[in-house]
Amino acid sequence: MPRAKFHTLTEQMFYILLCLKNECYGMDILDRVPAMTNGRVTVGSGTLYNLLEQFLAEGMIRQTKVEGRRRSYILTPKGLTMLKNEYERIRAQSEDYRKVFREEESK
Amino acid sequence: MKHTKTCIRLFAFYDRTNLEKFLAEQSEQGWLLTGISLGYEFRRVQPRKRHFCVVYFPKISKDPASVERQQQFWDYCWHSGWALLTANQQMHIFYSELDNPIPIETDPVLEVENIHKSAKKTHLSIFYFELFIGIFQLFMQIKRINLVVQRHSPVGAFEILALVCFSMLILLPLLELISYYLWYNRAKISALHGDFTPTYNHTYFRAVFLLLFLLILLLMPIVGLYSILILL
Repeated sequence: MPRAKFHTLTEQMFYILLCLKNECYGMDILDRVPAMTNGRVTVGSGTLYNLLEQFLAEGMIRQTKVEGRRRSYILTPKGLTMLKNEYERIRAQSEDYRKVFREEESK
Repeated sequence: MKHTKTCIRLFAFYDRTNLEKFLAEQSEQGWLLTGISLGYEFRRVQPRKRHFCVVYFPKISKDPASVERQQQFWDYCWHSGWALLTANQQMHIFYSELDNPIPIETDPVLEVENIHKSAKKTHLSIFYFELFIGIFQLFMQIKRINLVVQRHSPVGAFEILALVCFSMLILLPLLELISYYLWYNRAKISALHGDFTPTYNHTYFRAVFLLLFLLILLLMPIVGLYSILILL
């Protein structure tokens, strides 16, 4: 059975949604993500465009302002929930990792 | 010295890997793409290393909302250092003079999805239609040959050539479809692992096939005329 869309988020999806916790222009996300991650994560302009369209279609974000061709977006409650769920999933993974390596060290 | 030129290249519609490579080679020789019509049109520029990116924008239409969305997409690309060279239906070609530009597509899953959506809208439908016409024509030609045989008349060279011609009309779109779906199925799986599968280069095969097809088309009226002259 195919996995539900956005059941797990890629890093790029995660950071785009993180940027949209507060109102943000779409274009500014291209600079914010590498700044936030010290260059570790970058988002291509085409990928950003496509993901914003998909997030809008899924109701995870909503458009707040349109100034000419500049549009700003913000997370919806659904988007916030999905972001939090992803954070919990990563945190649980991180905890499991620490447990396994702590057990090995104590042996 | 020429300031413009046109190159004929038979890239497949989804063959972004080899098209980008070709454009990069042309740029190092001092040619920059200006448009795509009968061939790839270039103008003289300063030879230098430039990066090229072919992207597929499936949601293209003439309505104002779609045009605005497209413009927004171009603005995002511009912000990352990519300038639009030309847009040919769903295929948009960008270039960058930065040393290490961030690629326009950084998610192979989305990229493969966009290529497939664009392909379904145009080229795949055309190939299926060509296949249908080819099969229909071949069927009619076989029926004609059957009638000739039933009348105990000899099957002429013209009928044989027509049979070969219609068979090729089926083969070309069929091979294009097989090649595309082979790539697409591999690309979908690789994309899940974060890799983009380079597209296949079949330009020489396509060139040979088309030359053969043109040769047969040229021979047919000659053979037909000859057959008529013999009867007279």
